[in-house]
Amino acid sequence: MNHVTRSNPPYKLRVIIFYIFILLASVGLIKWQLNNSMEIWFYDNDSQLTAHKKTLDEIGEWEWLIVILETKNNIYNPDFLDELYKLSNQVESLDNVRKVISIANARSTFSDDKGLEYRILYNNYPTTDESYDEKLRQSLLNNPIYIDSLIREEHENITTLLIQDANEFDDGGPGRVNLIENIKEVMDGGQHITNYSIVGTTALNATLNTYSLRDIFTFYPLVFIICILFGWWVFGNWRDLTIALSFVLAVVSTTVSSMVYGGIALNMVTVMLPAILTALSMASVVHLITYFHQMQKSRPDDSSNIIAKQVVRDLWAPCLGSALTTMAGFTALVFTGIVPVIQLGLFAAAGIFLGFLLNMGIIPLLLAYFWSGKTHRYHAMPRSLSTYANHGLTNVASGIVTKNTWPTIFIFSVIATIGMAGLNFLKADSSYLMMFNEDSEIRNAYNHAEQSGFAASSLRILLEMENGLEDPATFFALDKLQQAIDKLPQVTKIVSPLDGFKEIDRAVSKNEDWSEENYLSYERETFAQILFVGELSNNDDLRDMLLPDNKIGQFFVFTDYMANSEARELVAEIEKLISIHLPAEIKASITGIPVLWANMDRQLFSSQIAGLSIMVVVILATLMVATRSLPLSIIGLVANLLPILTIIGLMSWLDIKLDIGTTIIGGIALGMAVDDTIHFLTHYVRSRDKGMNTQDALIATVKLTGVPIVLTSVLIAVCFSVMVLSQFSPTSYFGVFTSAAILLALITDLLLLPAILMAFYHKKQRFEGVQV
Amino acid sequence: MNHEHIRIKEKPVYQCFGLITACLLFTSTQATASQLSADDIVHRANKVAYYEAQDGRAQIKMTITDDKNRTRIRQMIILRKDIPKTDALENNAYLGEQKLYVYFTHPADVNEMSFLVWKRVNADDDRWLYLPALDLARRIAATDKRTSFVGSDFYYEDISGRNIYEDNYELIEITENYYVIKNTPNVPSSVEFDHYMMHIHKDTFIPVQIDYFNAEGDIYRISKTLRVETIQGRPTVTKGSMEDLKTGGKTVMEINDVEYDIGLSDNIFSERYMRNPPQNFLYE
Repeated sequence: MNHVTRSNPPYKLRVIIFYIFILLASVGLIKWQLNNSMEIWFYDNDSQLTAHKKTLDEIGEWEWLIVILETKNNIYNPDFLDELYKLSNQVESLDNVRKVISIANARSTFSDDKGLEYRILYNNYPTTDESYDEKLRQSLLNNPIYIDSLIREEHENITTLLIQDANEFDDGGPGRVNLIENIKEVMDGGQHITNYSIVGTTALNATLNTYSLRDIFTFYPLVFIICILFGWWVFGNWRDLTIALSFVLAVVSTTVSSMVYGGIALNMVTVMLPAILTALSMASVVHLITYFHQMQKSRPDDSSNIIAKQVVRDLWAPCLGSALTTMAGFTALVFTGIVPVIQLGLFAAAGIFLGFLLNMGIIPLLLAYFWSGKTHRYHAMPRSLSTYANHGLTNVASGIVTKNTWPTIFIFSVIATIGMAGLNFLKADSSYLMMFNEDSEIRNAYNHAEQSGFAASSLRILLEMENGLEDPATFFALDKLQQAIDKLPQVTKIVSPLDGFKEIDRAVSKNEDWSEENYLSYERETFAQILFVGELSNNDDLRDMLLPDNKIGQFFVFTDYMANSEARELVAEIEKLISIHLPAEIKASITGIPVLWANMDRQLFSSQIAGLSIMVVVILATLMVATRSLPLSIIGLVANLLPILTIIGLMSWLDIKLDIGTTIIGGIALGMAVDDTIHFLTHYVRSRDKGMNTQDALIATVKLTGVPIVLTSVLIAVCFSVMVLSQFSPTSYFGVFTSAAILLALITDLLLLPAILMAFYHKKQRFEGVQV
Repeated sequence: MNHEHIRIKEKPVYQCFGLITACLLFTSTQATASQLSADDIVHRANKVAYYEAQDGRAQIKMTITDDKNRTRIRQMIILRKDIPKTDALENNAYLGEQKLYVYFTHPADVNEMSFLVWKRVNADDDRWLYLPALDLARRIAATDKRTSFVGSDFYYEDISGRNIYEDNYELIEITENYYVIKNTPNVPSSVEFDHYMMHIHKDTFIPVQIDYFNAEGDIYRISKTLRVETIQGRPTVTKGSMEDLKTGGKTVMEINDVEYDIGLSDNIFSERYMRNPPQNFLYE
């Protein structure tokens, strides 16, 4: 007979207030923004960022974007050059484009019967001249700025468009994406262009922007749908589903709105936050709702109000424990030193804590309200899915584990040993290009650049010359440095103001025997006057590399695409050359977006170790509180570390490196995996406290927690696996390997953990803190 | 428009005689003003700016400031000689070829570099550059006059003068002190501006401000006269500025020690004198 009473009217008001709160919290979501600018990756006081911004401030805020063009016949064909001239002008007229250099508009200093002039090379030779193409080609090859940057001697049908794009460092809007699209539109209009590719940090960044925007509109809706389907499948009624989804919405909207109001835009890392919080919130509320109905079933005379309060009393400790460990897993991300990763960690932790508070404060209230005077209909259905699941899990626990304890431990040990052996080969290196699929447009573009021999990336060396470039000692020192850098195997091309000087010097001297050593005997006035010729002739190529006072300049070092470790290696080599060749009066600092990116993940290994270390301490402490037993805590810790380390080892076997995406797997997966262990061990200890022996306690624990553990783990794994749809590999690896870690941790909790407990405690009649 | 930056400094004259003369001049000016066409006004302004006297000398100091407030100084001495033997406005007789000799004095590294211009009215200028460090004189192509002069915000054309026949003139307004003329290029594709507006002082015919407009109708470049002095009876701009609103750069040009009719001979404007500067006309 049902003696439950209707809920108190005041609850209704609180429920209404809660839903108003959700509505208000959701308002902030309207103003969400996506910001994948360069600046989001760094703290304001980052020394590398400061150096880079100084360069931009001194010399100008722009980066190189390179378009590699192929034509059917010959790049010196007048029809192709005429078209290229028009296309260059069209691209130059686009927003955020500062300047475009191509063989159709490249300038050089000439001194001929027309006079000394900085003029367009192409116009210099009449196309009626039979050997005009050879003269043009030779002029380009003779210009130290253009050889290997605009043309390569071995290619007659490939050239480049060098674009200085105003790549504003803090521009997080769609500017880059629009620029790339606009350039493509222009290139598509070229009748003589058979193939083209766009490479450079702007192109990379634009692709990142596109993918992360796609991820936002893919992950969250899919995960939410999965939660709805899962909720309906598990709960079987709209009340529980409404409660669960309200809870999820409250957590996600409050957390994301907090970010929005705090002026923090979503980025390619934090786009995962709504999906992560949705999955974790749903998983946490499943425990409460399931337990509530289990209690309703076992205490049919109690009102929903009383049962709700009992749920809080029984579950607050394990829920707090699991919230703390999951929060610790996310908070450990601060050790990465990578700003978007830290943001993900901190806001996810805040969301999880909010979820705990709502779980304990609001969910029982909603359960009491919605189930006041009602019971769950599946109580009357003995053949429900949960019944079958319980039955199956109990069989597993008693059959496989209790009767095959040591074989179970042995099998897991073998798997873990093989998996963890991969940790010996684990490497840390971020390669942003490799983060895109092999058949993606951006990867194809970079492959094309590499095959053609043209550079795809560039560094800058900012020079501060106390005595000015006209000082002979300064000039010669920089000349030696440039020659040394040019010899480095990673360098495709280096361009400097010295090249601009030599080009003018050649033209002014009009000496057929002019050689690069002509200037070795020059004095200060000569250098100054040649440079002044550049100023008089409005040589803007020189101006791009040297400020008018001749005291601040830059080298451009063009390279193939480099992974971060390769970039760091190159920077170290250049720094060594700088220390060898430059005197104290010349300050040189190496910067550029590739340098910034390369330095970002120098802490990957150490951050992984630091994060996991913190997690170990937190998990141990939490388990100690839950179990009041050090041996049990250590067993619980081992049972969670093994699957995580096995998965990380597996990543290494698959040659997947630790990068900005995969570095977050370990801590997060560990933090989530241990939740089930906390629930399991809490109920195990309670069962032992009631006087059960190990075997009985294990079977009782599996009966009570088995289904919720399986459900929540499967839910989290399925939700995270949605991220495999991302075309950005750190995100898809995060999804895949976190899911795998959760599932392996589930199997460990259901098989290995009971097996270890059986092995160590079955024959013992007493253990510390527990009465038999 | 603020004209307080302009001060007209007059050398001492007989006060009462000056007053009578001023009245007479005022009356005649008023009578003349109402009869002047846009072309007349522009020619007068052109003459005052570029064709005063038969020859002249001036010491120029350019302070070039970029958008980051970094400054540098260029100093030079300019000698000018007009080929026409008259200053008369009738039939635009004053208008003709000119020769300019620019002798750089600062910074020290470019001291003694010289730049020679033979300005043509209906053809490209002839230009030469002399580099004393290499003892080389080179002819310089003069196809583009609307490019920076020695790295400043002034163009070559601003220094030597724009060909008066390249634009169409329209008198837009006559204010109390100024003629406002709209100048539109005859060949728009040859220049980067859409039109420019000149504010020409009614008494002196000095272009006090010139605003350059782009195709969108926005001002992107402003030339201002900051100081005018009467030297040898001729109103002379002794301080001016050019501001480039696109780049954020600004150049202030101070013109000192101006002297007219100093008897420059034609042969000074030759390669020989580039290698051997005429010291009697150049002073530190």
